Amino acid sequence: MVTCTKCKKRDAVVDLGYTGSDLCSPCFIAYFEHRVFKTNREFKLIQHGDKIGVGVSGGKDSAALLFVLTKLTKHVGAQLIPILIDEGITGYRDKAAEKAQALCDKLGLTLHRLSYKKVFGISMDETVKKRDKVKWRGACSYCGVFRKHALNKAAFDLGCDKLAIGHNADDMAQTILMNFLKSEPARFMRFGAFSGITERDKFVMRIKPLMYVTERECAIYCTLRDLPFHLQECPYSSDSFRGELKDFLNSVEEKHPGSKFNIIKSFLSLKELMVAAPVSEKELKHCAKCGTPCSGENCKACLLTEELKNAPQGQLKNRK
Amino acid sequence: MKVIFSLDGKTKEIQTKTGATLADILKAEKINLQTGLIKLNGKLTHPTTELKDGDKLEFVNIIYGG
Ligand SMILES: [Zn+2]
Repeated sequence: MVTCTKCKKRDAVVDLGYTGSDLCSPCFIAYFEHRVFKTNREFKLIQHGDKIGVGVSGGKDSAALLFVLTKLTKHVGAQLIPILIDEGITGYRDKAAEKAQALCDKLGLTLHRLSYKKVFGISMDETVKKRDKVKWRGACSYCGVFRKHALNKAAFDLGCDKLAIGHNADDMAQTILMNFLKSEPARFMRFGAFSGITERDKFVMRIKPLMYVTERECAIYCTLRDLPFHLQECPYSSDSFRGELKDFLNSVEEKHPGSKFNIIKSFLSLKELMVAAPVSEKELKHCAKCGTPCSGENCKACLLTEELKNAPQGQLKNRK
Repeated sequence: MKVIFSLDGKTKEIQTKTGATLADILKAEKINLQTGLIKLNGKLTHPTTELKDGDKLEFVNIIYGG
């Protein structure tokens, strides 16, 4: 048995590779919450009087997020509004939504729901059936755009000042590497602890309080706190590039603990230099159809729904 | 000695040497600890913990389902 490096009393249950420490359950919980609180202070994410929308999915990251934020918002004096976006994926989101509801019940919070069907007139189940007849895209290409749009809409309609999302250090490191590998440096400007186009109409700024805790730590936190969460891979999961980067980062992290955080830190240092020479945002317009800020005449979500609406009827190809 | 190991709902018996740890089993099964949680007899346990005959191990894959 290994003794906890922090309290030096209880048995350690977790091995935190990158810090070299071994923690018992109470010390891990304290450590995790401290990291989130510290991220919040460092980037001034949630402040007194804020109305914070929280994207919850029923998964471990958003469960950890919602639980820590109930503590944090009590401490700073802010309001929390959990929001669940129902993509309409039978056998997947409906099951996860039960966990999200159970967590909200446990915390005494009202869960707000908004579905793709309601916003876009089409569920993900229907989208994957129709997409083969138009330009073929991976399910995640639609879902990523739709989810962002729907979450923003829900948060905006509920009057939220900010929208907290459960992106953890793994998500951050993957996205940073992906932007490098796809050579999309302009995307960097809108990426960080805060993300999105700030100070725009109809846009709620996204914040990432979990950016300095790993995916694994979120799962450990939920397990030790006994929070309800759903573990299942999305049946339409198609973003294989992200999956490859995930595997790559996990094997690098195993051999070189701290690598994930170093990618995030390097990126943030680079971004500071990039901010000195900002990319112009003056060409941004608002979507002629829904009013969302975008760079063209219509936003990506409206373009995709239009494309799906115009899909011809007929035989379906069986592609994932 | 023998331990019971389960992963993704599949359970099997593993023959291992006395004094083997949870980390040893993960290594032998080619599982990267970064991709999940390791439970011993239902409880989250430090990977360097030594196993006893008949122990039940479970690896919970967490790399999906954000
Ligand atoms: Zn301790």
